Amino acid sequence: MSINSLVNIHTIIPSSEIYGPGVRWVLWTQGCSLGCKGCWNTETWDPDNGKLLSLIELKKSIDDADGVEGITLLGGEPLQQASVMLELIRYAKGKGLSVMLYTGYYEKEFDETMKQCFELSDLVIQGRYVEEKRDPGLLWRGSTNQIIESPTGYYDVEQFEEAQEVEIHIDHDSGQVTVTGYPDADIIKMVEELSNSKMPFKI
Amino acid sequence: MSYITRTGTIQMVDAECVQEVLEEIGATDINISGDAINCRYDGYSITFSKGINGVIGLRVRDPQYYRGNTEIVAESTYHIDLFNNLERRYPIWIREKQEEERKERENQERLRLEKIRIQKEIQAQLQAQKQQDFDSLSQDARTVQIEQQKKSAQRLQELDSDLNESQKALETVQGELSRVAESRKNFLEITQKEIIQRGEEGGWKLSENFVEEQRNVTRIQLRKKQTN
Repeated sequence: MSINSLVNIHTIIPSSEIYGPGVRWVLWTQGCSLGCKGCWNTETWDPDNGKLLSLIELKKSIDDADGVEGITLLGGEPLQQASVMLELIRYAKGKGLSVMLYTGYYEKEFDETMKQCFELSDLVIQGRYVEEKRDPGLLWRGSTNQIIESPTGYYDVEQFEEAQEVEIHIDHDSGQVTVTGYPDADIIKMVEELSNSKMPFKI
Repeated sequence: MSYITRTGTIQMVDAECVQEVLEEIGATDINISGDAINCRYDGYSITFSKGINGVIGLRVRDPQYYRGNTEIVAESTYHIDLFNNLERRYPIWIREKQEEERKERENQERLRLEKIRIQKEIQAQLQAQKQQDFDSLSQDARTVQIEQQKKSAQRLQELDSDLNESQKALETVQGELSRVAESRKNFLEITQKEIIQRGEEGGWKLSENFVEEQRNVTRIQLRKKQTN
């Protein structure tokens, strides 16, 4: 794997507290062909809509993130870029950071590289989002079929208390507002109202 | 699966700035009152809304929804185009003002340095006059010296006048920029307050609220426990 290998990304948030334990560097990859019905992040599906960053740039971004407990990889579908994810996971582990991985795949669907990503991760949210099983009260997950596990045993998954979480970042320089996590419709509507919006409304 | 969405990078929060930009774009009959900005543009009457936090927004009828009604589609599309244009021009207006401020400061510095130089020249001339017997100079030499002093004094007056003008221009642009900065500060404070207050009204509990200095970002975390 070359350090110039490119990763197709949607967003990086260098510091967040709602994607796993503690403060974490969070990467949303771009591109997902699983097409879960009711997905909240359809804008991360199209691989042509992303931004290509080299592994070296991503590693630097991790290095620059101060005081984080670990990294979290989600998407999109991170394991559709499994070889670069594996490189990132190894890098983070080498720095003593924990790794949390979101994947819509089930273990039985993993190829060899995906399996390695899974096995090295300290926390994995596994499984498709199933709209009929949606439960907003779940911690870090969207539907009840999704499993939390700790393949390395680093975390005791029993200690985590179920709760719905949302994080809102307001950039002081640009005024840009970013909403992440598991907001309800009221939160989304509120943020739309509080920001520049040319959202068409239906009457 | 998790949600992530971002608003546009430019939050237009200063109504007077919006007004000036609209004028630049060619809008007329611009009227700011309460929570609305009304104007006319190319025959269309357009209203922008002003949010509780000062942010300027546009609510239009969805062109997709009214696909069959060509008039509404045309009008809505037109409004969105104008809003996009406004969004493009708004940060340029701010950058231009910042540039104006920078140039005016440079201009003032240049004028100040010239003033100091001329004051020194006058001092030197007076010093020289003291050391020599002015009356013993030829008529021509005296005339030259007197003319020189007059010119210097006149230039000093001009410089003072230019400095005054420059100071006024600087104060104007600084006033505009500080008004924009104040609007942005209000936007940040009210947005933060509203998110927390309305979140709590919706059953969310505030679990974090702090400024991440390194990124210059306010981070608000809300949490809700399921009760079923």
